[in-house]
Amino acid sequence: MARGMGMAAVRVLQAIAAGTEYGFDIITATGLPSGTVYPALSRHERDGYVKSSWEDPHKAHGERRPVRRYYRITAEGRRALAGVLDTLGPVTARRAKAARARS
Amino acid sequence: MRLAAWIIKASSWIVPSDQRTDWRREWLGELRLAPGLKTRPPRGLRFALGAPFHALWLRKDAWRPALLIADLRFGLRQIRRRPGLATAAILTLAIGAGATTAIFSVVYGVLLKPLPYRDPTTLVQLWETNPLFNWTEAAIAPGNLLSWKERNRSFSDVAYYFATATREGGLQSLTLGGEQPARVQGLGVSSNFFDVLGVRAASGRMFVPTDAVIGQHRVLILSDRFWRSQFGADPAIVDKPVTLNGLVFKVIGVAPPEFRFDLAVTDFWMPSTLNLQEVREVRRPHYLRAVARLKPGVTIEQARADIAALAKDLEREYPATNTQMGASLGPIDDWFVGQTRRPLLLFLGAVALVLFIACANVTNLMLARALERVSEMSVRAALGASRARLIRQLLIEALVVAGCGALLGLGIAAAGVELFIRFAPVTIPRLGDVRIDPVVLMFCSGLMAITTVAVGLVPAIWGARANLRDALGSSSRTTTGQTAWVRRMLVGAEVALAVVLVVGATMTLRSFAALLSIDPGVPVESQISGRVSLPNARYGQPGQASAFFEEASTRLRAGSGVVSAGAAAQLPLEGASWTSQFFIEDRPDFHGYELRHKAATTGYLEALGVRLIAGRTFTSEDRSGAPLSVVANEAFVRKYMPGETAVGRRLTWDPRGPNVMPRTIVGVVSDEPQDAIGAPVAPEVYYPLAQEERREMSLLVRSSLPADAAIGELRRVVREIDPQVALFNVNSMSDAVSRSLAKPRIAAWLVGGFAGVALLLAIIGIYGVTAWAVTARQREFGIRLACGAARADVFRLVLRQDLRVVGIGMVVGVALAAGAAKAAGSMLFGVTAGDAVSYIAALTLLLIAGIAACLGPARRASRVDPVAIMRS
Repeated sequence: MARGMGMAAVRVLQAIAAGTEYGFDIITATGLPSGTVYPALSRHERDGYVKSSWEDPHKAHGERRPVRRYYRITAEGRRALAGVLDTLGPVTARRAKAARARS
Repeated sequence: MRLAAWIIKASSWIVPSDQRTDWRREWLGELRLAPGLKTRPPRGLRFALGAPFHALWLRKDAWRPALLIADLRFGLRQIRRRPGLATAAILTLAIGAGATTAIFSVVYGVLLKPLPYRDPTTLVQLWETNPLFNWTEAAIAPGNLLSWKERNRSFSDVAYYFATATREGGLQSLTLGGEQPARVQGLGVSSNFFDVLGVRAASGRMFVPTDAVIGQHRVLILSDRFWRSQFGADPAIVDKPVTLNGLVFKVIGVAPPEFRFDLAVTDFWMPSTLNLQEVREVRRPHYLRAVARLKPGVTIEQARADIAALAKDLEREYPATNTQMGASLGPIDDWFVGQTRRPLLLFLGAVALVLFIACANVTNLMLARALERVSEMSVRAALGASRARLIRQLLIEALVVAGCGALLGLGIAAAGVELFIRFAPVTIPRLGDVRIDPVVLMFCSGLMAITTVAVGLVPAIWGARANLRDALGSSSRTTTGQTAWVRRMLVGAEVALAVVLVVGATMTLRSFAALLSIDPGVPVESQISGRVSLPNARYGQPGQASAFFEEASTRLRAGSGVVSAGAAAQLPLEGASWTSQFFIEDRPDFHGYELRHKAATTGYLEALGVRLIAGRTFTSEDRSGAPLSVVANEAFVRKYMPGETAVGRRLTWDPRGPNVMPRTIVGVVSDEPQDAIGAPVAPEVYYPLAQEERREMSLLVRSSLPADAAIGELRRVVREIDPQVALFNVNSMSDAVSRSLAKPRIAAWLVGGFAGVALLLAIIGIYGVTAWAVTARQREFGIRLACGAARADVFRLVLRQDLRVVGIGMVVGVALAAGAAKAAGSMLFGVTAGDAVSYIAALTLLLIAGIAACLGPARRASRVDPVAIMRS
């Protein structure tokens, strides 16, 4: 359901679809502030576009760092993203290009 | 880094509790993993700043409206389950909120709503002062006004209007032509009056300077009310002619509907033809009121200092007329509502106390209800409801009760405002602006929010504190102590506030009773009156007006049942009067004071019913051309000729002309009430109408007839003499007396009513707490009785504990009441702020109420059956 999905939410979903998995990485990838990214993540999770899970604590422990929560896009999320990009295609493409050019 | 972590931890408390642990772990984890954090701390801080937003988003998302509706439904179901309790709570709040809203709408309409002028804060009212004559806010002499106007540095413009002795404008009563002559009232104003106020015409135009030129001055601006009532809101009214006192005026405009200037109803405004330049040396008498617009940036204090200095200059330049004549000014809203402000704010304070008591009572009810539901809450908590969730549930239930209360209260307020307007004294300014409007609605919803929190928060917190262990392990044993002190404190506060209100009410009632017991000095029950204003056109010749009034008086006296009848320029309790500086002939050193004087026909003093103390009253010998005579009142003799013979002494007034005839005192009569019942009576003299004519007089009839019959007789006589003359302000003197007491009466009613409600609520509160405590402590009483306590001991125990609360409340209440009484002191008559009778009466009443309220529960406590209790 793409109703009311803002540009920031689209970009967050796009970043996850591209394989970015952790909160801070998504912030870096999208260039959006944390106060925007996290609510978008929670929202996508509520709407069923992304699924989050905690990584294996043994792995984190072995690397002597805290466990991370990682996010994966769902099939429904992919459909929603495609739908949004369809309607907003040209604009998003330009924006994405611009974002890339900035970073 | 540390700050960033702190922000995240602090924000985590916003996150719904079920997600909180994970949320904290994720954010703190990412914070630690953020690359470059150690080298560039601002980056971590920036990251952490997003945390509160995320937390708020999650909180918002958890607050689902569907749940809110479920809570609301549940709240309503709770009400249905315990309808008695809920009804009591809702009614209590409705009375509190309704009364508060009603009084607030009066306070808002009268005191707070901006006056309907452009930028009213820069408008000031000007007046003269003179300690020699006890003038504190006197009207202004035209010469002085012109001097102020020419020499001031503070005003951008000054407008004036005609004055009376009171704050009301000098309205002129005129007869509106047409098949049915009607009395209408208009105010003469300077041509720049509406410009200074910044008011534009709703249709047509306002005055321009040429309207004040004699010959072009017969123009009118109608009030919106008059235009609607008399001309059916005729859209083509502008330029139409209107006949007033036989003269044709042209309507040039209609004022906007919200425009009001005077305390009294004004039908129209007409331009004054007074040319200040021509009267520039006329510094006596004082008959103008003035409104000025401050220049930008000039403060009221600066302007006041400016005209005070001006008045000092004038005093030096014109010692004959301006000795000690000062000048002052004040904000225009103070001028209109200044005298009403304090009583209204006191009423608002009193009603707020009632609301507070109501809230305390409902809090107690809700607390009792919450404690009844401890096991329900515990089960909810055990099933996973968070404490916040339980508090929310209980708060929403409080909201349902407060909402119903506010809605019902709004109805009470609407009815209350209607009642208030109907019974309010006419002297309350701006009553027409009082209504239930959006601001009042906002106030009422604000009240609802406050009462929700007030009555809901304490029970919600206590109720939500429940835990499963308590609930399952408890019987009635554990629940009393927890909230007992809260409830006792609430009842103590209720008692304290009730003391304040009851003391206030006793004082107000005693003050009102003192006013009622005053003998007006004249037989008001048998008197009726009506006012007549003779048109200049037909009664302009000397002798015509006095002939009319003497003829009317004679014919009235001839009627059966009539004791006497006569006419005077002003009747008792009308307040207004003409005054002049006067001199006593055989006392050259006597400084002239302002003396009230009024015209009277033969028979007037007899109709008035004052006692003749010395000399005689007026006879037909006191005619034009005969030696001038006056009759003085007792106050005159007391003040100026104490212990001396007054009859035969001679006075002069208006000493401007060279051939001022001295007037001989031919009689002394007892005082008539002048301004109001209970107000001090000023020295005053009556002079024969025939010797100085006036065309507007009031006819007074004293008779043994019923008031209606006497009024019919009065109408018949006036019609017989001149059918084209309208009789107005027809009423009985007892009505006038009752109107004069309207302000203290409404104060007594309001404060008395509030106190009654407060007392009732306090009794309910005391009863509620005692009854509940007795039920909760049944087991204890059973044990006491089983251990050998006498029933009387238990009875006394309960009584003592509750009366201690009442006693503490009374002590606090007396202290508060003493403070409140000081603030209200100026409203009281014949009662001082330290009036012991009021305090003793109030305390006795509260004590009786306190004992009565806990008598039943105490008896119940002493009748506990120990055996039954032990077995249960």
